[in-house]
Amino acid sequence: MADITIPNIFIDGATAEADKVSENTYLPKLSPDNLSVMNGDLTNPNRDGWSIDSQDVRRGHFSKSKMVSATANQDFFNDLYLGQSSSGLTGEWWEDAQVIPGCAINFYTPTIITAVALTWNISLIIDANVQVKNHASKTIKANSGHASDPYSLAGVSKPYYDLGEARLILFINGLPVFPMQRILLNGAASMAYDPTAPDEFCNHYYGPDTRDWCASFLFDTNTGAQLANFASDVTTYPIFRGWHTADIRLVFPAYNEQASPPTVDGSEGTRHVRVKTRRMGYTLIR
Amino acid sequence: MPINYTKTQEGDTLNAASLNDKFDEIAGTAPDQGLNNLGQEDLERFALRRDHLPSIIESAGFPHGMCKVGPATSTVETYSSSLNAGVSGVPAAWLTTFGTLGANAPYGPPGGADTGWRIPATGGTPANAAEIEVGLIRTSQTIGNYRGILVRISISLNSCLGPTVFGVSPITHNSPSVVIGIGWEDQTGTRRVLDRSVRWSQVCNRIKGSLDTFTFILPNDIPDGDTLTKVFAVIAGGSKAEVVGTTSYPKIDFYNIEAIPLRFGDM
Repeated sequence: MADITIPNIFIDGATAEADKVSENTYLPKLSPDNLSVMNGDLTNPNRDGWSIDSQDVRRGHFSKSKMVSATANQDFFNDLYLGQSSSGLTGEWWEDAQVIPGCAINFYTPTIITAVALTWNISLIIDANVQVKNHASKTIKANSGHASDPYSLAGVSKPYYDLGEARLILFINGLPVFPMQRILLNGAASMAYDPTAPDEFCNHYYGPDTRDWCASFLFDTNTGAQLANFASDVTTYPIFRGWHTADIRLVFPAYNEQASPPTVDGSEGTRHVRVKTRRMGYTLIR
Repeated sequence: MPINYTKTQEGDTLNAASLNDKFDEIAGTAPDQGLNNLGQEDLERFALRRDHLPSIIESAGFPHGMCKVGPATSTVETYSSSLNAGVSGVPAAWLTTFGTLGANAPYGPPGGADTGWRIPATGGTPANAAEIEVGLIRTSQTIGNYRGILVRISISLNSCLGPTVFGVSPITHNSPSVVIGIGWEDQTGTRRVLDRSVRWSQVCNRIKGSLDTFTFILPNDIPDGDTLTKVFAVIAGGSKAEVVGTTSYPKIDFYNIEAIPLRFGDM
């Protein structure tokens, strides 16, 4: 609350009312403006401008943080995502996204705060059913020297996989934060193989075999206003009092757009993603 | 208890003035010590809890918040700008060279081969930019009331537009790269990129789908008396050792930037 302004001023000649005297001394109100503020309602404006130092503040009341992590391998298979559209992730695809345990956290915000800072890192590897094709195909991509072959993210002349992209996305309070999504597995060709030529196992030592995402996200009032699915309901903001969740989720479609008609039964496409080490932490900023 | 209340004694005049004075005395209307102006000595050690405390961060320093994120849906755009177009390696003044093409240069994709840094901004609109407005003056060893600003950025790399030259290049240290960094702007509109924030990711063997970097802006990064008005992300193509003619242009969709001011000591 702001500084107290005694609600009733007495004037000579006017009748002195006992209720007004009482209101000046003690009368609990939703927005206290009298001396009852001393019973638990003192706030920062009551401070006389002196500098707050560590001996004044209870531990954890300016900030609070925690982290969770996990190291055991965790496997996600494409049968979790059967039926995703043959044209890729369409519609409300995020509803199929699976929470990654160890990269998920819940926390209690004790009062309205300025911001929540989230940080995480995660390592994954992909296993995809691919065929060795090049510029005319969309299964394996490599820079063969042909004009239509772009630089491979896995390396020049190293194949990479661009079918059934696996995607990671941040969720807060069960809602997707759309700009915080990354297609990390595109290019992880080291575990890819061609079932018709199993001896051509594409285990390229020079190509990356593990994808890492180490990132952060800060949520304050203005962040919520930038995200349409949060802005419509401010109670979803993690900066307000209550319990909240934050997690990274994984989704990848079990389809092959090369087949005619495209298959969505999981027989082809990205088949398996192994999540390795992961971590997520939060910091509340008063 | 340092809040002193003068009791009414027998024989004292009881009128409006004496009543009002008693209340003002407890409330702490100047010059009285009262509930409106508690001194540090009025409180026991560690007495302050969250309800008594101000925010660590003063909103005036970050009028539009501490985070910028966009776009809402995937919008892939090609940032066809090279750091070292026509120059071998890192050119002179590369940290202060920004693209000039486009309606709102250096915001957004240039639309043609450009030279210098670009600030990610969907559609080239400054309001969409990976940029945060700040209003803090560097004075001595502080920036505003802070000892520094932690800035972190993340850019989603969709793919890279390959060189137009045919043929397979050998993988070397001078292969085409995507370069990102963090910059700041002063009160005159002068922009510069902080060298230590710059990250080179070679197309051939290092690129990952997420381009991330961070830096801690220190008072010494800003001339004394200057104002830190903006912090922003930058991106470009480049090569460390070769003349870049047709470099690998990054194609990006999502991006975010956040700034967290850090305090030390009391407040």
